[in-house]
Amino acid sequence: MKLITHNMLMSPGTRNGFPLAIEVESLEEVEADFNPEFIARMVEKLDYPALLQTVASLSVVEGTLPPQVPEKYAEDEEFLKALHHVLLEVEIVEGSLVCPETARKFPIKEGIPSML
Amino acid sequence: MAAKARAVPSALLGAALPSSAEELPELPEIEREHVQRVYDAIALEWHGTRYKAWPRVASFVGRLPRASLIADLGCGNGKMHAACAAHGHLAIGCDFSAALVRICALQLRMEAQAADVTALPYRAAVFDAALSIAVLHHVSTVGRRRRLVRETLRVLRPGGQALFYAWAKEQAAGRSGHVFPSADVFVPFHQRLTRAEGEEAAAEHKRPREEGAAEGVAAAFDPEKRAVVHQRYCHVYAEGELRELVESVEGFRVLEEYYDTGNWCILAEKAA
Repeated sequence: MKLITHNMLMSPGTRNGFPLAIEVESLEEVEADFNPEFIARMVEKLDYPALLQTVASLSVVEGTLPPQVPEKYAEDEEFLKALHHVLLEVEIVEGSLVCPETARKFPIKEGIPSML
Repeated sequence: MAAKARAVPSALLGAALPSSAEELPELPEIEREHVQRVYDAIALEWHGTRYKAWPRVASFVGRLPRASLIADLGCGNGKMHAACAAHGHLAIGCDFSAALVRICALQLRMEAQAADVTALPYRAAVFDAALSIAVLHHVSTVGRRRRLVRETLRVLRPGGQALFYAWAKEQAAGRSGHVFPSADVFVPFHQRLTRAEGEEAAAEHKRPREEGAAEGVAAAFDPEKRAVVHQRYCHVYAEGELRELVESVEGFRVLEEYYDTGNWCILAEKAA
């Protein structure tokens, strides 16, 4: 599970089941092709404060993201690259997601969250 | 190959459930036994023969603005993944068959989760488009079908589009060979076994398959074909039924209705 997916995930059937806390057992950093157009398109979909909160909770991930999305983010290559790394190059392989509303735990195995 | 479909005994259907069944979070037994468990059992064989995207679904994906975020709801073995990636989109998929989700995640490196398409694990209003391809025909109650459509609507952004495909009761003669005796049917899937597997299965499945299907047993061994015969539950849609279903959920506007390779198809847009 990449962090871009985590930013969209919510505990099913809840009103406030977002963002899910991540309990990491194993995490990998992978390389992904940088596509600035795609990253810029994703900015409007992200819950940016939730992303910052998640990155802060994962001590191993470099925290180079600014506290706010820059105004001209589509032309800000440094920002887009940092965002690209966080969204697409960090994979949670084993661990759990924890619902902030119900404390229900959803296991992640082999990179696959089970939200059933 | 003409697969012989048989009518589902009414006692196995959710019609027997009270009307409050719409809010039941539990997966109905018939979907657990005759859809989820069947796909878990046949996932690898399914993936081996059904990996190509359907052309008209691929063309819908190709018409979306580049770098769209797509929800593939009931993603199966991820056969839309390549078409999405080719257009610079990101597809996030889910399916209630854990075995199919593993194929998506481990073989295709797709972002995929095990989830129920009637209780989606996503925030509201984030996806540019949603795919519901060959999923609704495995949902056994009208309440759950509506909930699937409502959930699809919820995760779409305003103006986002959803494409629904579901098996049609009306099958062109001679094409797939399917003839459906009823709206709710068991469609057999023959999972071929090696000789050794066959002998093991023969020992396990003593009952003849006719009897098994009649009682709603999801799989039985067919010694003649040396195959395990899985009974997949399907609700096949009559002309207009899928459109009515989508239109019954306020907030969706139907843009297009068509018939494609044995399926009724609805393209719908979330009100802006």
